[in-house]
Amino acid sequence: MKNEIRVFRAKHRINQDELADKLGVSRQTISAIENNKYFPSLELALKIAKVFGCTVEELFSLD
Amino acid sequence: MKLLNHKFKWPATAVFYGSLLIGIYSLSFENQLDEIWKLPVYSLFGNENGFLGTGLGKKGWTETALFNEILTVVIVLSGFIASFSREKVEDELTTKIRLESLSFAILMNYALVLVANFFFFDFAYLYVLIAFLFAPLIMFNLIFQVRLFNYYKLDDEK
Repeated sequence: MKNEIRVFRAKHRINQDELADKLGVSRQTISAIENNKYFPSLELALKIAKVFGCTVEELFSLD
Repeated sequence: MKLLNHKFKWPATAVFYGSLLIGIYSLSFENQLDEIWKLPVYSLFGNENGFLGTGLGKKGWTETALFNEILTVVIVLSGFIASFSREKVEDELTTKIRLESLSFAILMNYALVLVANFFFFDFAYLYVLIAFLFAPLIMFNLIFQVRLFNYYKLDDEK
């Protein structure tokens, strides 16, 4: 699975710390997700999509 | 999963490893720790005349030093508190790390039990049993701390 979180973060000009604060997770968790070391739960994926105002499919896709 | 407050984590960790060292000392060396807090206790299980007629391990009222029993309670409780306290930012990844560490520790423990079963006999096996009383908690705590250390090192942006 790959994700576009880093791209969306750049578009919205927010860093990992700010995104982590909005989601109530740690910055390391955002880093792990961006680097495909951890695949988030559906709940967290939906929360990330809500922050960026997009769909989960735009953020995450199968390789 | 309900977890304890983060402020308990480091004091409990200090007590856990400190009491473990005292426990190892009480098993390994000639010491007077077995004489501390001698009190009458009721033993639910044992022979009428004790182990090989020595009176030790007798069923019913007997006298024993409660130091080891209290130390066991301290080790187990502090180990649980240290391992089941919240991280500063507790999220689904830290919860996943905690549960994976717990299952890995249980697997490791029983792998070691199987190995020890064929290499320790008679009274030596008694020490193995005592070790395996605490081994899952120790391995869980160590594996969890090491994995958390690696997790906190994830630092690709700063």
